Amino acid sequence: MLSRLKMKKFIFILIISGLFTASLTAYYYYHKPRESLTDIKPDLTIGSEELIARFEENETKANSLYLGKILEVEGHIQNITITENNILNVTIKGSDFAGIECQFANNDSAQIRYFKVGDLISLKGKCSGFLLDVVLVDCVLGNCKIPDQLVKSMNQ
Amino acid sequence: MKKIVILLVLFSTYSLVLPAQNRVFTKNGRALFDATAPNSPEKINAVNDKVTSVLDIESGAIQFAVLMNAFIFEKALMQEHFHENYVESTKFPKADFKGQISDIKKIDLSKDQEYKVMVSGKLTLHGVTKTLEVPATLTVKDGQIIAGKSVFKILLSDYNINVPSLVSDKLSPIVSIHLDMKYQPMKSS
Repeated sequence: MLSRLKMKKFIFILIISGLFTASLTAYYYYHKPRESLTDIKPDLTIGSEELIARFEENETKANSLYLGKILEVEGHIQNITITENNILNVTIKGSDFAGIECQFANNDSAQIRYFKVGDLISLKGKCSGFLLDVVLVDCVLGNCKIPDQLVKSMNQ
Repeated sequence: MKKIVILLVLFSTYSLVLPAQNRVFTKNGRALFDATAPNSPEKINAVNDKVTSVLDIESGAIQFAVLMNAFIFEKALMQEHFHENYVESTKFPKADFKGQISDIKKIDLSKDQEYKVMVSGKLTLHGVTKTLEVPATLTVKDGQIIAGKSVFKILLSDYNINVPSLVSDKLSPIVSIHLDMKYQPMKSS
């Protein structure tokens, strides 16, 4: 009799805690913030010139290949700007007419200070398509070499 | 001979000065939308800082282009639903607006101030094109239009975007859109 009561109690507690965990998990997934791409493996690694060439050749086809994908793009920096809304944009040179516009994620712009126009850089971001340039959003630094001058200053 | 020289000089200054002066553009304009229903417990909004816009000061022609995938939400799941279920960003990656500032003539580039204007044109979103007329504010400084702003509302159903009844307490069928452009002179090409 007693053990049966204990059993009932045990099952009751089990159900309650199960429900509690489930609702917590649901709450967590529902409110999960947009995650940083820092630890996410890119779907594709591609050179900036090739990426632009693909979009200039056939935008529809390029969209079907790259839209919404996480791309790691390597190329030379053409421009670095910070907008009035404090958003960092790095343009990577593509062709004579178009480049890759990389909009940085809010909290991941610190390391760019080691780079200047002309440096080789690798950036990881979500491909949003092609207007005048190819646009990547939520960008973070990719797997790239730190520029020489920084290495020198670190050795000093 | 003199006439020809004068004409040539006039023509060359015309072609040098005018293209640089009469168009302004931006690649980093901001578009923000708010679709929060009146009594919703949470905010439904997103921001896009990659709006491209060109404005021709002479004719008043104005264009905007927006990549849907560049709209960013705070919550991952909300962003996913927006792209997959509502605007179908894969199928319709771009939205654009092509229009005309009807009262562009009242803008005096020699006076630094804000001008209230009306813009009418066609908005294409989710594959549907609708005519739109909205108020806007243009800012003139140092002989140039340096900024443009507009706030207006659109009906989601106009653009074949359906709001399931399950989320109708959170997601408003009327969405307010805020545009904020900081223009630069377009270099003559």
